[in-house]
Amino acid sequence: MNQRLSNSAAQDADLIKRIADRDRLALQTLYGRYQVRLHRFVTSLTKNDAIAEELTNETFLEVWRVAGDFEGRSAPSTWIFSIARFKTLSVLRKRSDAELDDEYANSLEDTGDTPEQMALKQDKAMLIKICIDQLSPQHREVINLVYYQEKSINEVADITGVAANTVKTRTFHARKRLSELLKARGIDRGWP
Amino acid sequence: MSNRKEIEQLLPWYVTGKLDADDQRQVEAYLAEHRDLDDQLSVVRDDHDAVISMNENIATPSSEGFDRLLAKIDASEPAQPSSSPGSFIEAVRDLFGVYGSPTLKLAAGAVAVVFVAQTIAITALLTGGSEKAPYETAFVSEEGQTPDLLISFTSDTTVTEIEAVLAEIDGVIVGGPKPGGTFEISLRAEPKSDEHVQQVIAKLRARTDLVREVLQSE
Repeated sequence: MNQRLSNSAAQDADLIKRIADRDRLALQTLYGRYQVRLHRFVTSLTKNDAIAEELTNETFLEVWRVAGDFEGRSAPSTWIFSIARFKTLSVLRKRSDAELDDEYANSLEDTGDTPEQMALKQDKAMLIKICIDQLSPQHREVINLVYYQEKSINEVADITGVAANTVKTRTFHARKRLSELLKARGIDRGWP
Repeated sequence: MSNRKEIEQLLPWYVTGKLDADDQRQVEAYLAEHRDLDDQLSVVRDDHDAVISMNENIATPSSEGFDRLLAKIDASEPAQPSSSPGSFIEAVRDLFGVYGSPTLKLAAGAVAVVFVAQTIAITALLTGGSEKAPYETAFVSEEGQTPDLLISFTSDTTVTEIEAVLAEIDGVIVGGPKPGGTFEISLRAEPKSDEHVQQVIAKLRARTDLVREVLQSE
C-alpha cells in the first residue's frame, strides 16, 4: 500500500471513529468519499440504479450503527464494501427467479434491433459492456472490484469472504466467460 | 513462480498496479520472456478500460441522498430519556439541534416552554388537593445531589450561555424546571460553605443579561 493510500485509509479510520461517537459531520465526509464508488459497485451487481441508490444509503446507515464495532483489522474501504456487498446480496436473494429471468431476457433484448443499437454494436467497448452485464453477479462483482475499484487480491478476498486463490481463479473465469460472450457476438479476441 | 496459468491469473492486478512487489517482478520477468502473452495482456487492458468507462457512465446518485440518510437515522434513533443531571443541557441541545435556522430554534424553544408549562398545569389539575408537590418536573433531582440554588434565566438566554454559566460556577442542574421556570443547581465545590454559596449568588446576580433571579435553596 503506498503512502497516499495509507493516508487515505488512516483518514477513513478516523472518520469511522468519529462516527462511532455520533459525529454527523464525519458521516457526511465519509459519505462524500464513498457514495459514488459504492453506488457504482452496487449498480454493477443489481443493474438497477434506484435499488443501488437505496442500498448505498442502507450501507451508510449500517456504518452509522456499527461504526463502534470497526476494529481496523481490514482497511476501512474493505469494511465498507463488505457491508455494501452483504446488503446487496441480501436484496438479490429476495428477488424472485422470475424477476431475474425477466432481467436476463431484457438484457438480451437490449442487444436489440434498432439502428442506433446496431451502430453501438460496432463499438467494441460497448459490446464488452453489454457482455459484462450478462456475466453472473459473482463474476460482475470481481470484475468491478478488480478493474474499477482497483482492489488488490487480498482486499477482494476480504470483501467477498473467499480465499485469495479463489479470487484469482474466479477473476480468471470471469475474464474467460467475457471473451466467450464476445466471441458469440462475433468478436474473437484471440483469447482464450 | 513460472507457472503460466498463475501468471495469467495475475494479469488484471498487473494492469491495475495492485500486485505486491514480489508478484510484480515475477510477472514482468515472465512477460519479458513470453511475448505471446502480449495479446492476452492487451485483452485485459481493453476490459479494464471498458469497465472504467462503463462505471463512469453510471448516473451520479442524487444529491438528496445524504438528507434521506439523516432522515433514516433520525427515524431509527428515538431520543433516549435522560438520567444524568448533567445531560439536561444535552437534552436541550439535542432538541434545538434538530432545527437548522435560528428562527426555527427559537420557535422550537417556545414550543418546548409551552409544552412544559402545559404539562405542569395539567398535572396540577389532575393532582389537585394532594399534599405532594402538584407537578412533576421534567428533570428529577439525582439522589444525593442537594440543590444549593434556585435559578431562573432570562427568556433569550441560549443553551451555550447556560453551559458557560454552569462551568463558571462549577455547578450542575439537578432539578427543574419548576413553576416559574426555575431550575435547581448543585455546586460541586467541597467543602460547600455558606460563604461560597453567597459568593456564587452574588456573581450570578451580576449577570443580569442572563439571570432573572437566583436564590439560595432551603
